[in-house]
Amino acid sequence: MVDGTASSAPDAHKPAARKTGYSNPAFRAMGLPALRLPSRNWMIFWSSLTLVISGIVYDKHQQKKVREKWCDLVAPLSQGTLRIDRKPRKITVFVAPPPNDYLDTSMFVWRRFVKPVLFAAGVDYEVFTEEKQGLIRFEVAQRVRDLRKELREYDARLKALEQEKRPWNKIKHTVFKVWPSNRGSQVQDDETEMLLAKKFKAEFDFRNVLGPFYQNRDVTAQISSEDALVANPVYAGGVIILGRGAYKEYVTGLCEGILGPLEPPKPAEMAVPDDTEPPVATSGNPEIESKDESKEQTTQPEETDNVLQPFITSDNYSSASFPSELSGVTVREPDTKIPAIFHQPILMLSIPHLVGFLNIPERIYRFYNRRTDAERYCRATASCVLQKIRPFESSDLKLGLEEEDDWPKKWVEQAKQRNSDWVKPLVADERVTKLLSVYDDEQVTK
Amino acid sequence: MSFLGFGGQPQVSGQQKISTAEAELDLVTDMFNKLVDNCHKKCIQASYSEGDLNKGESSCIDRCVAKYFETNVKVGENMQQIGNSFAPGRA
Repeated sequence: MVDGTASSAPDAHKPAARKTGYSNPAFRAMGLPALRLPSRNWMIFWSSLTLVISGIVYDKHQQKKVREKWCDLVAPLSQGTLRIDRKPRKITVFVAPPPNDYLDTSMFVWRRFVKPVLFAAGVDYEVFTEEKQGLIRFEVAQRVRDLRKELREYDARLKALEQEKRPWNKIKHTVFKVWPSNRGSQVQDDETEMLLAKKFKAEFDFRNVLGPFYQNRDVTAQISSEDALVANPVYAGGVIILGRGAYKEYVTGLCEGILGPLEPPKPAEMAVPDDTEPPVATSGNPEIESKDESKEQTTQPEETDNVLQPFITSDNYSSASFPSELSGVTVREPDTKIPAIFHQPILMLSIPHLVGFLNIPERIYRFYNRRTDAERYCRATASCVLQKIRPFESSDLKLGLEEEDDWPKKWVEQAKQRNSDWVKPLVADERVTKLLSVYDDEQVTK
Repeated sequence: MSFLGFGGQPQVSGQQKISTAEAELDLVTDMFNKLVDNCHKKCIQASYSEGDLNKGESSCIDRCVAKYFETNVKVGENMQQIGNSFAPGRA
């Protein structure tokens, strides 16, 4: 009895604090405790945790679905066969890191949303990345300059050959002048056709059709790229550019390569502005950096590098003359016959990337809505793969301009001090933009 | 023994040459087999619906082989560096 009264007092308190919950004899027989809801605080904790995690999972799942949708759309392109002496279409990709962050953030977009679509379509790609501002600009300009040099050499060789053949040409010209032009050429075409047919029959050898199973000269035939075979150069290759900064550098690089001189300007000419500017920049930088040392480590531009000095600046575009070797309708590389990089259409993918403590709410919102970005990237890449093209307009210089709103203000100030290309308005010459074209993702259906 | 392979050549060279050649052949064959295995696994669909490679597969294999070789060379160079840096310690 004493025991009973002693225990009954706490018992009377406890049931009031804790609800009995649900139970039944079967559960009790199995030794299961009564089922009851956890306390209010635990409920809040579990529900918010579920919300956070399920949001992420849902978004990831949707991203995956988007990716699969676009990969499936372009997959038929990879089903065709490729001859052994052909190389597939090759797309050049330029990736620049967003301001104040590492290259990885841009590469993430490339790896997740762009590369899978390209892979599914079976096109080849070449990635050029930069850790430092100016590398893309320099690379693009250098490619164009190399092409121009090659073209010049090629022209020189052709001229030399023509010189050799001149006596023969004179004779031919006189013959053509004597012959009536219309019927004469018709007759001659038939004759040459007959001759070619005879030649083909005489030279035909079954060993040449046996492929690699018999020694023959066709096996060693030159491998040519599919890009070289298209008549309209806009259907060759393609250029994908990730990030507004990379886009600016690419366009400036093209202008520099096309309009600029082939050899770097003499240091004497450049020395005056250069030697005065970098010391200012270098003396300014340590102060700024020491102030912001606690901030994120940056991949900062260092334009002081001599190699990266532009051969021509944007204010001199108008005074530069358009090179004669590029004046043809289609410029192709002399060896491979691939159309030059400026004929290949551009796809610009802007990578909105926000940093900073105060932006965290916006960043969270974006993080949970990555699927919309995924859709945008995949769709744009598909437009590149499916070659939906429109000519370049002057408003296309503003492609991805919205990305610049995300750039940290401090970084922009620093970049202005360093005279970086990224923060200057993008200027391009009319003669260069006339050559360009862009991929248009609005033409992609589905 | 000889220093840098000079001296005492006639006795050992035949046997040594063969063994090094064998080792090298093993290495190359091994690498080739691994390369074929990996790139096959990565690029070629197991349904084998067609006799020929299709475009996607061939460009995938192109990239795969190039990447494998490049990596192999890089790893080899690195290993050699490590080996070189260890050798003086041993001697």
